Amino acid sequence: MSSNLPIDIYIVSDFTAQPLADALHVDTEDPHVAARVAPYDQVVPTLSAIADRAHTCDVLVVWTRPEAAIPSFRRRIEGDVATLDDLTHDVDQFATLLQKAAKAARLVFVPTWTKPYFRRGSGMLEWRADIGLSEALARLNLRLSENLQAVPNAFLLDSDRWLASIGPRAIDPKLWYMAKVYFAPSVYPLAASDIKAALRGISGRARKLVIVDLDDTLWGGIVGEEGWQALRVGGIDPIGEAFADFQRVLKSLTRKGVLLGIVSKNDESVALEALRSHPEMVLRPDDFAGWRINWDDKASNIVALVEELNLGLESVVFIDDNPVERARVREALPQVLVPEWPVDKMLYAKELESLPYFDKPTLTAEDARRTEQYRVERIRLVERETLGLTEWLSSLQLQVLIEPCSSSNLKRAAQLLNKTNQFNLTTRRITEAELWQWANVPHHCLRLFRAKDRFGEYGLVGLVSLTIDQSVGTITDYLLSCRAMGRGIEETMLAWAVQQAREQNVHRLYADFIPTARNRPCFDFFDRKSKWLRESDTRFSWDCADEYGYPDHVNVSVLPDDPNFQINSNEVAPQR
Amino acid sequence: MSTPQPTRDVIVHLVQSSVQTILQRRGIRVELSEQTVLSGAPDAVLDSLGIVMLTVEIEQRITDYFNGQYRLSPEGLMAAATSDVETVESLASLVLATLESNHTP
Repeated sequence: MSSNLPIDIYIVSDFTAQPLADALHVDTEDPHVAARVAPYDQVVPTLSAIADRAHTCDVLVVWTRPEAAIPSFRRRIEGDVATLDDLTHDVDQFATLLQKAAKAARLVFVPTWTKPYFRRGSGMLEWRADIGLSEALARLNLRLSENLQAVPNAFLLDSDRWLASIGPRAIDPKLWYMAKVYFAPSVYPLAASDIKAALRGISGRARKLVIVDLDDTLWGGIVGEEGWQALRVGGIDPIGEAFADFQRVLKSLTRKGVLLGIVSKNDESVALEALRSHPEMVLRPDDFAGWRINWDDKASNIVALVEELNLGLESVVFIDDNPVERARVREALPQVLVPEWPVDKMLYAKELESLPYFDKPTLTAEDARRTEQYRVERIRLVERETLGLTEWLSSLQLQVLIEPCSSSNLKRAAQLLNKTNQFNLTTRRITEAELWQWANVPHHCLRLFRAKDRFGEYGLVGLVSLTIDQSVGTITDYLLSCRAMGRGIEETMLAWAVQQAREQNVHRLYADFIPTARNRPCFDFFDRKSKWLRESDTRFSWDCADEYGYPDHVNVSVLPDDPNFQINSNEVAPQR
Repeated sequence: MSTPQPTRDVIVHLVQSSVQTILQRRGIRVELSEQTVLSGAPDAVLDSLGIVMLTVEIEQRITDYFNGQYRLSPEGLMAAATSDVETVESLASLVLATLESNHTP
């Protein structure tokens, strides 16, 4: 999904789904998609055809009405008996169809089942077992979710949220009777937005950094004028509570791997004192990966901060209460996403929670630790300035553990493949299932690189994969998390690749660079630092008669390629 | 609060804005005028699904605009809209005539 070709989306539904295809086409957000609609109300035959590979598609959207997909639910609507066992049986059958189709499609999205607001069902008995429709519907969705847990490329989408945001008009019986359009037209753009958010997340294009202004954005008031004691955060104060909640939403993003930054026109010492000292401040300096607090232009400060964090501008969301600053950043840095921001401060948290730019297909241990890792990185960089590069590298006591792909690190491996942009040779984007399948093909070899130094863990930061064809080897993937660049892990990864190639009697190992808008750093490394031969503008090679040694300052350990081997801790193995 | 009356200008505006909404939702860009052909001809800007959605949209806007004092039946409007060549202008006339005949003070 990294090419510029539109993503092929096939919509399978038991109602007229053309409005969803239209909404997907009209939505201007990334990525570009081409949506097609399967024949109306042919869900089972269409899913069977996809499972049999008689019909192919990239992304499958299966949107059904529970009364159509689940016969026992229809019986319950009609007042007939439908037990929990009946419901479970029907959901399992439907889920089996989805699971089979999911093997043939790259991704499957299934909006949850819902019912119209006007369907009162049994009133006060709605949540009684074996009677209520609401009770049945909750069980149906839970059971479907349980069934799809084991399908890494299938995701349920929360349709209740779409309907709730439209209100009573979300389902219009007139459209249903006249054209078999089940939902009101205004529902489909919301569905399209969530599908695109998911596609962005899966292809590594979710936003990774939220940069906030301070005065009247992170807190109420002007700290430079009023002092931190007078700032409105928390307390028995509607505005203060709203700012505290806004900060809580920001903090929750950090636990999902999103970094926070500050760009604000203020005196740095005054602003940081407020963050440290205000008793009800939810966010403290350690919650931020970096900041630029000064009186300079905000756009320039954003560029500097993003460079410091080794990210791209397209990773950034910038939040500022001042419309002039927002307009300035939008104009100067079109890659940065600058959402319109409400004037009413009590709507800040709601606005942030509704932004569809942070979706991820998985959450890993690395995500939860990311801010801490950047904090530690700041300390490392201060030392680099003091010691100089060579002495600094030696002082790091860098350890790299090379480990095979296993069930315990597959999620992170797929995340690395799909998120890494700058130091990425080929920017191959594949799902967990596809990666696992690829890694298990003979002549394919894949390893992950876990690192730590005396400051702490980097986690799993690198991935290299090779394809060996007799005497010729090709590096299929070669990527490293941007926060681990420039300390010898790149060379360690190449050294492992060459060693593998030599052990398998490869004469020449090739690295074919596939340029993107963002992976120039990887090219520059091969071109200027790797000592590999540049054969063309996109091809580098290494003569495997020669060794490519591990850097002196890196201690390397290798985990054995044992298919039953499970990694039980995040600890890097002892030094060689 | 008095309910506005269904004048020709008001109805043309409601029909035109409804058409605009439907076209936007479907990603169709057309310079809209009263003479724009909506249905019943090869150069029509809407297909049968578009006409259904348009009639429901118009009905909803009429209900909202006239606070429920004037109502349309979308299926009647749809039957008329799909039987002949309809332009924005002729559809607006049809809506106006229907409202006048259906009005229950």
